[in-house]
Amino acid sequence: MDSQNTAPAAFSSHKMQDAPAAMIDSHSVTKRLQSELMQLMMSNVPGISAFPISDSNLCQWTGTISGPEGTYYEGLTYKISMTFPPNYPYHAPVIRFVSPMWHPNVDMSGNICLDILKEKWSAVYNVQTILLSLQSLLGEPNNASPLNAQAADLWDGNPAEYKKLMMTHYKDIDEINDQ
Amino acid sequence: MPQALLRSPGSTILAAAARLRQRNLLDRLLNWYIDSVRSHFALHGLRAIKSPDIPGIMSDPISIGNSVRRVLSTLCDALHHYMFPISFLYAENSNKEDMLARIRFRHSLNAMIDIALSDHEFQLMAHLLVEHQLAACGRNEEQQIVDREEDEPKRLAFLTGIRQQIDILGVQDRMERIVADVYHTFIPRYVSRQYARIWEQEERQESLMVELKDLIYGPISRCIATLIRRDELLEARLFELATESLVKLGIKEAFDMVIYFPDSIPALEYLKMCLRTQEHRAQLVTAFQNACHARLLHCGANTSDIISFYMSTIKVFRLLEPRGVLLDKVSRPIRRYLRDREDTVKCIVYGMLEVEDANTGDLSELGKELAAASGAQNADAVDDNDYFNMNWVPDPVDAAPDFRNKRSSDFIGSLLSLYDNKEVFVKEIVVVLANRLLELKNYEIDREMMHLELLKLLFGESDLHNSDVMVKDILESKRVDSNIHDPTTVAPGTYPVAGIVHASMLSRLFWPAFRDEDLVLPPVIEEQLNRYSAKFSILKSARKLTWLKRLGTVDVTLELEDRTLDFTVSPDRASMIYLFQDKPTYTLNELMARLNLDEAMTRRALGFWIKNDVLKEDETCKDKYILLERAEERKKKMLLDDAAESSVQTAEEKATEEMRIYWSYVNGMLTNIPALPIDRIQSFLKMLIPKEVGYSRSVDELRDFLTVMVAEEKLEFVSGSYRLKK
Repeated sequence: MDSQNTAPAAFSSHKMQDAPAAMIDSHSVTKRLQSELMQLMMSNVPGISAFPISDSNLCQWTGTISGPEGTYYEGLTYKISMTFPPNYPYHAPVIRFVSPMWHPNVDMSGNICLDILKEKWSAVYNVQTILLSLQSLLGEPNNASPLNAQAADLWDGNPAEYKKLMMTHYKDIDEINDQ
Repeated sequence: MPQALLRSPGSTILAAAARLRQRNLLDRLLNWYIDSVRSHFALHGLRAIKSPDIPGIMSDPISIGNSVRRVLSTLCDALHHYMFPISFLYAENSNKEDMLARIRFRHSLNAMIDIALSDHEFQLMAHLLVEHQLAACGRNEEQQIVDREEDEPKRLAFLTGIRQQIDILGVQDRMERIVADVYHTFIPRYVSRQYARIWEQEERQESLMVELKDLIYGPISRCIATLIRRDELLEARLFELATESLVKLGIKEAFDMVIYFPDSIPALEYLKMCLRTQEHRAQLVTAFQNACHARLLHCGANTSDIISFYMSTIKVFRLLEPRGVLLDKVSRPIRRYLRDREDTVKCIVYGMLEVEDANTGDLSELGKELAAASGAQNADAVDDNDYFNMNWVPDPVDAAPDFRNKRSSDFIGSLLSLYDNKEVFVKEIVVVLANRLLELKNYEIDREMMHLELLKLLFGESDLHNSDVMVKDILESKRVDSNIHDPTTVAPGTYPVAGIVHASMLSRLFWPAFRDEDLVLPPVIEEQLNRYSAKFSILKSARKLTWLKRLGTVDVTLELEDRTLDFTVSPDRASMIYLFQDKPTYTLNELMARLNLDEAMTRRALGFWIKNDVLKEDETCKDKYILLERAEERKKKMLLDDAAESSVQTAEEKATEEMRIYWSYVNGMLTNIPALPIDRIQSFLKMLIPKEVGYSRSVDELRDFLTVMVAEEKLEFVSGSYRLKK
């Protein structure tokens, strides 16, 4: 693990649970997330967006990703949830697809297999880079370690069948919002 | 039925009555008689009263009076007629049963009369009659006492006649009710008609009371006392009613008195004297606030008008109540409204700096106030913590819970306290000051320095530090400029700078942001500027001038075939007209390219020259402009008066920039959360926008903003929530 992923305040599990440390942490997490939001809002990259779901808890966000052009997912929009740990950005946020997602690296309950969200997480990543990585994952899956083997097989083997199966799982974002 | 026609009954009838009495059957006779009287009255009596030849309520006072009398006399006759037989059946002053029987009969008659008089039309006529009588006592529209001496006895005689009929009919109660009804509406109406909008003369207020007293204790009281039973308290009650009406009138007119201040001071003094009860104070506050909402606090009013009205309000209510509780209450809506206006700060700052501007109106009073106020700081402040102040009194009970005895007689302080921080004013002051300094032609900054010193007293030294540097820049520029123009310092091999070019050297960091667009100046001028720069670099080694070509002013003299015109204009306008020296027509695009201006700026500059009849747009070809060597017949052009254009980024533009940031937040929010009510959006923005950017808008401001977005079809408002328009 990179050294930059280590929290400056000696990174050990028992210290993380100290109440005062947690409080200071939660404050700095809030600040960090606030400035990440500002950055995200101001850069205004098309196709990706995210926002906290409540004004009281900045650690829970919801986001939307549009499928990149020239991929199976072009024109579709997916909803995701992002949960930031109290020691963010030293730990990666937990990201899940809320919309049903049929993709080689996403399982049926929306869990994502993406290296930068797991072992390759680094504190230099931020919400915007995560969203961009996810967006590019839609076009370039890692078929070597699939969570959805059928999808991985069909990706190159049978594009028509892939598109068909993927569309049977797709749900419009309005439908999801209405739930 | 004249009385003479009634004949006494014969002896047989009397004997029959006596027989009935012996057998105790007289009661039955009476019952029968009452029944027949009732049906007779219903058949004939009522018809006589409602007969069509009685003039209606729309006729003149005299015929109404006569009609009332006629109805009453008809009733009197009927009464006599019906009573007549009874006097034979039951002798007067006889035994108890007879008395009771007579009373019983009288009661049933009274009931019939009552029904007759309850007639709606008659009631109206009676009201009108009384009202005419009262009105005849006072002044009429021509301010003349109608009731000449010889008229009064005649009127009183008429009233006495009515009084007698009323006594006969026994309906005094009814009459009293009518009279009371009438004077309760008549006196307030009379007062407000006679004394409305009379504020100026001091004596008038005094004589007004005397006049009212004379009227009430004189003709009105005589008139009423003739008509109904006299009551010792009548005059006092009437007078109380009149004074009460005067106060109400004053309360109603408070708004106008503020407008006409200081001419209305005598009336205000009087109102102050009368404002004794809590009820009146509350009424005054409500009436004033309502008037403000209806007449002032709407988008049709100029901000400067509202501000000057607010200043008058402060003066007026300070006069009415020096403690300031009423002022505190009435000014709240005004202050709230002013806070929401976009150009409030601008107007106040322009006023304080005595800038004349068509859009902000004249508030130079503020500038004078600023100069005056700085001398007498805190002179009349009442300190609640001063325990040795033996004249201390608690705040009145109707003071609002958060009432503070502010020094609200000083307008500047009141206006500055509109906003939570003075920052907004400082920002605007810097912008205005920068513009003013840039417009100077001969480095004469005395006036600006004086204003700056006064403002420093108000806002404190530190906030206006930048402005100090700005002023110093100009002073320094004056020195450098005179040095550059000094002929003895011309270096060999260089050309002197023409005397018409003067520059101000600005310390960029301390001035507000400038618009940094470039402008192509005529080559002659460019040449001069280069010489100026060269000379500057010699004077101040290792320093270089960066020209801000958009700023400053140019004196232009246009020599056309038939006329010579002088203008003082901005450089872009001057450069534009210079182009026409070579060729008389240009298209819009050519001009934009030659001057390096954007379309809006070019059009504005064109508009200026067109307005001054130097250029005109070619009628046959759109966006092509021709120089008018010979003046043409002036056409009525509805060109907008171009607002004095600021070369510095204004506070308004900053606000637009902020709104752009807020919009991206709202957009992001609604992309991910489908629909949100305004409160949630507000709390999101409050919570999520970093402090460095800051979010200080109220819900109302946010709502305005979102409404604009809805109008631009970026948002839609569905069942209480905003969502993105797809």
